[in-house]
Amino acid sequence: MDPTLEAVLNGTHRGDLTAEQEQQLAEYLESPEGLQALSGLEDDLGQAAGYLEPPELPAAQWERVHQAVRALGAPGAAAAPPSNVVPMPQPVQRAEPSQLPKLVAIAAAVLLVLGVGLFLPLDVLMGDGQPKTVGTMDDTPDDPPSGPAVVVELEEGPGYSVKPYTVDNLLVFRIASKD
Amino acid sequence: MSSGKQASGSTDLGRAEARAQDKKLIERALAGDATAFEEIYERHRHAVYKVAYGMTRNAEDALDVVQDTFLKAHKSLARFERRAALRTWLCQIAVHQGIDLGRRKKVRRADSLEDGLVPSGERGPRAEARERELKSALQEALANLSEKHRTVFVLYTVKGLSYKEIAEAVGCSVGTVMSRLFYARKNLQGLLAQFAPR
Repeated sequence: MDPTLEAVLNGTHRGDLTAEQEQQLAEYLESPEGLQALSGLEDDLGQAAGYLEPPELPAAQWERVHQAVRALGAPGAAAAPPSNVVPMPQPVQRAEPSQLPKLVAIAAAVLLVLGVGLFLPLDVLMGDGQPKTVGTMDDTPDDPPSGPAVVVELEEGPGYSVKPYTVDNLLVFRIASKD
Repeated sequence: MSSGKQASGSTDLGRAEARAQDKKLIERALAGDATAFEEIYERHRHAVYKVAYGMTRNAEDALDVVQDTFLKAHKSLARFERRAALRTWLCQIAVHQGIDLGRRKKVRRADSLEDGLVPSGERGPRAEARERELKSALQEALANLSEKHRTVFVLYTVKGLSYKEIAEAVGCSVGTVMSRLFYARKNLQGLLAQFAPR
């Protein structure tokens, strides 16, 4: 008898069996002696299996699996998003509207005008205080400055006034509330 | 041999009925009935969990394996060849998923020894400590079995799987299943004898 097989039968072999050794063992187990060796197999394995029963899990632990399976729908149908995808948090609505966007808009307008104003003649901007439009698309200067031209439309509104002035060759617009 | 895996008239009948019910559920699921797949899951999740736990020896990992098994089964249900029993097929998927997870994790985490023990008011603290000790030793012995021996033993523990079905799930002959079980028994026998009731 193959020594490994003998060791298996004695219960002293540890490690894997080759396909050939496995086949030899299978053949042996079909012989009359082998059948005898198999007696009590199920009792022993049943006893071992009983000790190795998996723990019963509380329903809450199963819930994620239930949800994932429910989300699948019918095979072949478009699957719903997996349940472990966390939805994007909804933005929190503020109780009172913030003044910040208005201030940011004003600051952005000032900065834009400061940048663009360098290309515009000052006299165009001075006038009688009536609502006026400066630097429109039609105001093509006779001698356009080199570089890319930027056109800006600046108009006084009912609540704000715009006053241009210069400081050290810098064109500044002062936007103030009429209130 | 005891009656555990031997085919008797009544178990054959039960098995045939179960297969017929599974077949109807598969047909309903493939026809677009979403509740049919949920029924399949309900019918087989405990068997799959048992296999998953046997392969991973950790309840959380086992739940991951159960989930992956049913996701995979859902995806491949149309390709399932109905020559085999649905339960056998699901257990086969669970074995592969369990092996994959074990390889990905490399180091297997065994559950706390307390987890699998059902508290009993009838047993004294010494008996419970003894059982814990045995369970620990068996877990160790099971972990030391080769993957193919452990797989066959874990499938053996699933009620309703015959030797033939285990052989189908593993892709070997019934003789090989017997030899692997015999080998597993030899490895566990010493331990079991040591802890046999006196």
